[in-house]
Amino acid sequence: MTSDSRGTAAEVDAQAGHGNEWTRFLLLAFVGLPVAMTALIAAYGFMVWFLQILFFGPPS
Amino acid sequence: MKTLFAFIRRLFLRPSARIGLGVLVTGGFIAGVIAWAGFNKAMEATNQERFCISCHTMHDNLLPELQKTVHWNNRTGVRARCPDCHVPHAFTDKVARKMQASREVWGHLVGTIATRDKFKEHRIVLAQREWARFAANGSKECRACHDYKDMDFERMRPTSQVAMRNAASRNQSCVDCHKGIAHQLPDMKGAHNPAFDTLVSTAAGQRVEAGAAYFTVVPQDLFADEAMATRIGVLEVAAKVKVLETKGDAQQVELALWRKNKGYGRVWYGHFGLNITSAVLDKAIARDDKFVTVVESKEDPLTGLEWQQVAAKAWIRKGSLIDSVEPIWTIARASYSTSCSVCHRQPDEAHFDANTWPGLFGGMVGFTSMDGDTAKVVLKYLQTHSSDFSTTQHGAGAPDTTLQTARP
Repeated sequence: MTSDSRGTAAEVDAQAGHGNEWTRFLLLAFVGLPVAMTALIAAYGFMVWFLQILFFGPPS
Repeated sequence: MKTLFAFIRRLFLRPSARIGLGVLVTGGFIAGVIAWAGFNKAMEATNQERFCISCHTMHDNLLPELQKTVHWNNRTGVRARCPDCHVPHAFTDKVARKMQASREVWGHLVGTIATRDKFKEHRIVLAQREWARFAANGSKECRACHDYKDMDFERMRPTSQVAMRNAASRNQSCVDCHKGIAHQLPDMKGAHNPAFDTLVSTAAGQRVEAGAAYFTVVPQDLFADEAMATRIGVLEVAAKVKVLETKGDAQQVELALWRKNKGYGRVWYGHFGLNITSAVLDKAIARDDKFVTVVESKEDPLTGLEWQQVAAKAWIRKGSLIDSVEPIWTIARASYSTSCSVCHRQPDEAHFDANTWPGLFGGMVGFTSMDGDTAKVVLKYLQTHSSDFSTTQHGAGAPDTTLQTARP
């Protein structure tokens, strides 16, 4: 294993975790990001609601 | 934590070695489409009536009420469902409302409105929250279906036209007037106008002298004896009485009023020929000569009814009189101008006469949030400031009155 980041395909593969690239890709695309999206929208909703309580009043 | 950051950093920044760029982008694209569709599906699922009434509070209380209204069942078959009115349609407000529902979930868990009684008691709070929302957005959800610009005023009933054209010109929020359109109104009868508290405390501190005239601040029971054991009727609010004497908790007052010499003659009025109620007596006592003295009789030329001036002495509970009627009218005036101007420009008090006001007022008071006592005071205020008592504008002797009577 060399310290050069531009190593051979096999070396990079080894660094990335021995071929679990597909697992990570699928998990990220179909689980991680959707969960993050939902959480962000919920956070956005809560933020708007709290702003409505504190400053804006009900939506006009 | 540090390893987590390192992991995420590697996950996002290290180029893929085995999967092609096209496959990654395509896979991400598909995942994005599925995620967004799924999100919308979930959003829609929580925006369905089935979802709303899956909660027993909604199913037991609000659904049966809605089912009695035109928004559930009508000849055109267009139907409003819970979220049509109660969930904003635009994305940001909708998401905010959905998150706000976490409060409702909490309420469900702790059982704030778990029973019908609890619900009825709490209803005013819920209603006011929703009314405030509609007031702020100009009843936007109503107007998704009923908008002013799409209304054909010509096809409305003439009485509706007046109200609706005015409302449209002011771009008024629908729920300002149409409260309780899809659910029962909260119980306002038990509600209490705090303005009366000041009056009652003024009355409690009022020095009362025998022989002087006073006014009742709230309706009072009338008793035949100073022990206040036999109830014989009710003295209405703002009724003028002369105090004769005070004994313990009781006060003897003299009523000098008018009544129609017809039936039992139970209802006593403040003035000849005007239906301004001052007292309502029990049947048993109203025709009792020992209690009631008829001073004089006079025929009302307009109705042909004989009116009698009557006098009686009765007892009331001490501490309910004040020496000036003005503070009562101040409360009534404030209530009249705030409650009635919500839907229309309130007419001048002197625009109608004392006998016209009760009919008008009775037809309108249901649209307001006035409690029973306030409504009585306001009606009396309107009657005693009507054209029969006013000398200005529309009052007797005013130019337009002269023109009216001059017509054939």
